[in-house]
Amino acid sequence: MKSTVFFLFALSTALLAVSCKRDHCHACHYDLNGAEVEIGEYCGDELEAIEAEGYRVDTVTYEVHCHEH
Amino acid sequence: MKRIGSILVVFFGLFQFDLCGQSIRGHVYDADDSTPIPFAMVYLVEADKGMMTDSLGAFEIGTPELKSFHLRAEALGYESTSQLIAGGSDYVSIRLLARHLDLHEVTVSGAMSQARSENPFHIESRKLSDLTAIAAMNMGEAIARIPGVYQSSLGNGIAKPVVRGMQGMRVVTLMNGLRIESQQWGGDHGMGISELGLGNVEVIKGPASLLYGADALAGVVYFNDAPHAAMKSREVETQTLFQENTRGITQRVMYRESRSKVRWQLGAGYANHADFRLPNGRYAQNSRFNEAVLKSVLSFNGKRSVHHLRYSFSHTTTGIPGHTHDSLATPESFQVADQRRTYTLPAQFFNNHFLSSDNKWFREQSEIQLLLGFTSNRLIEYDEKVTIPSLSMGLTNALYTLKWIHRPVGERFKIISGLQGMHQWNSNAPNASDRLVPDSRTLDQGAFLTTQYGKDVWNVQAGVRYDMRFLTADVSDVSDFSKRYSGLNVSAGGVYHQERTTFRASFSSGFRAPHLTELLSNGFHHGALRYEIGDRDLNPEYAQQVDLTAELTGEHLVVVYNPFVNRIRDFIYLQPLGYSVDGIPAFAYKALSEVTYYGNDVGLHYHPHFAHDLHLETTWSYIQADSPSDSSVSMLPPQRIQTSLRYTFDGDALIRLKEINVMHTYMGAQRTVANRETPSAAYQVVDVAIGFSLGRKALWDLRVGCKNLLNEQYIDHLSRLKNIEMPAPGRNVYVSLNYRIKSTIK
Repeated sequence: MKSTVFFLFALSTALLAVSCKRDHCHACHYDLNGAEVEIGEYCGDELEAIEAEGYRVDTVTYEVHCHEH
Repeated sequence: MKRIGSILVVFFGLFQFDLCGQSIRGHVYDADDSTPIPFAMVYLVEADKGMMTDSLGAFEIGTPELKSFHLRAEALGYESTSQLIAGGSDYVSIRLLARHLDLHEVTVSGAMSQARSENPFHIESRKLSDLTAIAAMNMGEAIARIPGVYQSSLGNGIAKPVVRGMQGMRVVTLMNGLRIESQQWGGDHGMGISELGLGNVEVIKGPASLLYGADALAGVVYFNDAPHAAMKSREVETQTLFQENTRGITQRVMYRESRSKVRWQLGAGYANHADFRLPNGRYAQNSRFNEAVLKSVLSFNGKRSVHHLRYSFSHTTTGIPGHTHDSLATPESFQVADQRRTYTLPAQFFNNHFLSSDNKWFREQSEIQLLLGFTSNRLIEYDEKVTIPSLSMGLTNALYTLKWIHRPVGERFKIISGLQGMHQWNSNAPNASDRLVPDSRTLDQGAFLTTQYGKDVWNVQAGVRYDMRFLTADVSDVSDFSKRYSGLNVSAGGVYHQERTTFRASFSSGFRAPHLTELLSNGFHHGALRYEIGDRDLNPEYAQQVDLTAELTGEHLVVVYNPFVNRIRDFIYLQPLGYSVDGIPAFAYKALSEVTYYGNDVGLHYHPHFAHDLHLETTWSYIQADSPSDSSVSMLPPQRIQTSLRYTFDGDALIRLKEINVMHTYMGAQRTVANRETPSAAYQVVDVAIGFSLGRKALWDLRVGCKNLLNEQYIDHLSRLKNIEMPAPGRNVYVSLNYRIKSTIK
């Protein structure tokens, strides 16, 4: 009986742990004249920075989107 | 760690370790033929503990040293019953009637634990197992099967209760007495309550400020945990549910153990659903969601006391459908060919922690109840950036309820008095791009007194309550934004109850202070697709309701008629402004001098003698609203006729057909709409379920069902996706497998 209980709880804990895993890399783009310009995949701190600061092309900084709709 | 230890010591310090000194023996019999009912559950209501009858229908249970206490008995196929037992009694005979409509259920959401038939205030009480006889996608859908209760949903992941036509801040949700605060002002913010470990739900329809203070203007939804395992036993309950429409799976496991002093429960659940399929075969884009839940309960019975320590946690990730950057969007823009499960933006993440210590001390002529609670809600919404949330709010609540129930001259006359308070903090994370609600603190304090007198077939109750709410907020343009609101509320009612008739009449009042969003909003609410503007001069809403109930019980038929009128002064509503901010429609919070909601719930339960296993139940809910400006009350539920037919089968075969359920819902058209709100067409939905019992010991329970059997394409009037013309889910075939094993502890 005890082993059944422990097995069930171990299983549910494992399920919960697996479900919490997330992907932290995203393909990003900016909009230019109605079209999306792809700028590659960003992860972790780089992803956070590009979203906060934008993507600079020459003297223009574009707002970046890293999710699909 | 030391801090956690200290908190536990404080909670456990309230415990008084002692053994129950007395016990009562008894039998549970069938009321028709006086045969003993084996394996019925007998609960001692005051101590919240139970014992199962043996194969001869006999039981023995330890009792507290009280002048009187309630015993409740339940058995499959029978109405539950509650008996008031005099303290010191050593034997009781309990007789159960074959099941009709359950009118004798004990409710706890009122001023005290009492049989529903003796309560002057109409309280709906339903077992969760009855509400989910046909599987529900979420808790909001399950409770929307109660007369007068509807759901307002945003896809499958978010569904909120609508009681007598109102929702959001006007509905107070409690779990085992703990008030749940989960940013419910937003129609797109979920309830954060899962089915895991719950036993039944009670609904008070109409103002209930006397019992629950400010805000309970439309009603109260009160969830109760399932009982512990029977004394000196343990049980494991698992459930696996697969729903093909969303390719969704739900896993739940619950362990319960009851020893002579201590009882405990521990459980976990996980659900994961992809986008739901529409009747046309396409999928509702970004309607996916997943949810993880943990729950624990630790209970202890003293000689004259009972204590519960409860903690639960839930984490929900839900997509927000209806988002596009397409300036020429059509309804088809939100319906896609592929069903996806991985989360994408916009999405919301909710974390809820609920902690409570619920204590009752019993004395000769009185009872003291103390509930200490703590809730924490973190709501994060990502709209345009995957690392920068648009909203990130933390709502923390510390609350208490102290109640004294005094019986100066025996059971007939009771005085219930108490204090209730809540301290709430709302804080925004610094990395969030928007602040819809500022950082703020709310302090509630209320005092109440109510009396009850019962004689023969009459019970009357009357009470008064005074509440104060202090609100302070950090607002950029005012150095010290603070408000003070107060409300004086009264309730009075009477019930006449005989074997076959019950008549109830009650008057109740309530008040609701304006919420921060209504006072101070000035920004985008992406989840609701609105730009909202508040008004700092709004007054509190005041409600007064008259509620009547007539219950007629025949040998084969039960009829319930429950009309009501609820008049609300200074009714706050959202008025469309006719312009947009950055492409999103702008709305402002305004107040109407008066709005009157009225309507009725009618219930009919037919249980013919010639077909003893057949149950036919029909309910009709009708709600209407009048206001000086007839275009201000939005999201008014249409009339609904819900008919369910259940046939149960007996037998002891290895694979046994247990029951068949068919439910038909007719939702009427809604043409009473607010300014710029669109009317809705009527629709009908048929759901079916077949239950099997597997194995000689019936440990396995298999259910196969189909929701929206006819694949009807409809848009519910209360759906938050109505504005993008997103239909409700199409046909959904599901399979559920439950396993429950029990063993005794020597």
